[in-house]
Amino acid sequence: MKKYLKLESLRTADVPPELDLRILAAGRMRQTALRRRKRLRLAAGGAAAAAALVAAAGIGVLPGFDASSRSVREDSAALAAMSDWTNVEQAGYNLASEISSSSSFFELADTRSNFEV
Amino acid sequence: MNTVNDTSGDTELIGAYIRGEERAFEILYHRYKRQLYGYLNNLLRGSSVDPDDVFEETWLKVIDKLPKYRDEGRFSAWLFRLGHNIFIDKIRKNAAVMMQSIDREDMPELPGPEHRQPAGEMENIELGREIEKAVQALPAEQKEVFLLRQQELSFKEIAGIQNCPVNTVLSRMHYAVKNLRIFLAESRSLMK
Repeated sequence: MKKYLKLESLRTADVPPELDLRILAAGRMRQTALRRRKRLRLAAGGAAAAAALVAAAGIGVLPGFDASSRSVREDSAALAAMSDWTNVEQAGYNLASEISSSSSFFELADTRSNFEV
Repeated sequence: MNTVNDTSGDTELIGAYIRGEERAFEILYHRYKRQLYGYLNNLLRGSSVDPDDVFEETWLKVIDKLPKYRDEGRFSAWLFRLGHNIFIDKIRKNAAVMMQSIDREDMPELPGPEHRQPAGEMENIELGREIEKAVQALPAEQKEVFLLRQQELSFKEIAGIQNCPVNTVLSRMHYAVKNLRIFLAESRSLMK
């Protein structure tokens, strides 16, 4: 860069003290407002997190639900066990149906024979 | 808690200001206040726009806009641009008062031959005063370019402030220096 004459009197000047005081006071006020806004944001964020925790805890106290001890794997195993029981129950029902249909058939056969002349 | 001090960079100070740290604005203000005040006083000398008003409004605008400041260049260039825009607005509002560009015929009278000083004894301080007078005699746009170069702003930054192409700024600076040489040569010849 070319060097050129620099004059301090063209570059800088002393600022009157009353101007200094007014401007610095305005700056302090604004920074106080910024700090207050930051605190409110943190408080709002904390409140939202607390609300989420309360909601999660509320779900945990519903009957039959033990949220603290159950894991996903345990849930899956429990569901599998329920479906096994359903299969056993289904097998029993099927057998019962067969037996009852057989007896129904024989009853029908007896009834028809009773009415045959 | 303050994380900044007098040696902190401008970007660091701005970040601290946004976080609400107490000393951040104070440090930034003290760092640049004399430069901005010097620029405005020299620029607005001879106009009816009060440089104190422009100075105060510029810093109030800084206080307001700093949280939204994006690092688009040097803080000093942004500061001088704010000052420039504010004084332009005031001049437009105060349209009856023009920024006086003193004609060479209107230059303050220089000492006549009976007050001449011995050759070679012109002190630097006297030269400085002559240059200041000559700068005040420049056309407004040349004067502003010259003063902003005194603040070590680049031509690109000055183009951003004056909202014109860089070549225009270069041309203004070229003519400013040329005119200053002419004014100084005339003032020296008058003193002989």
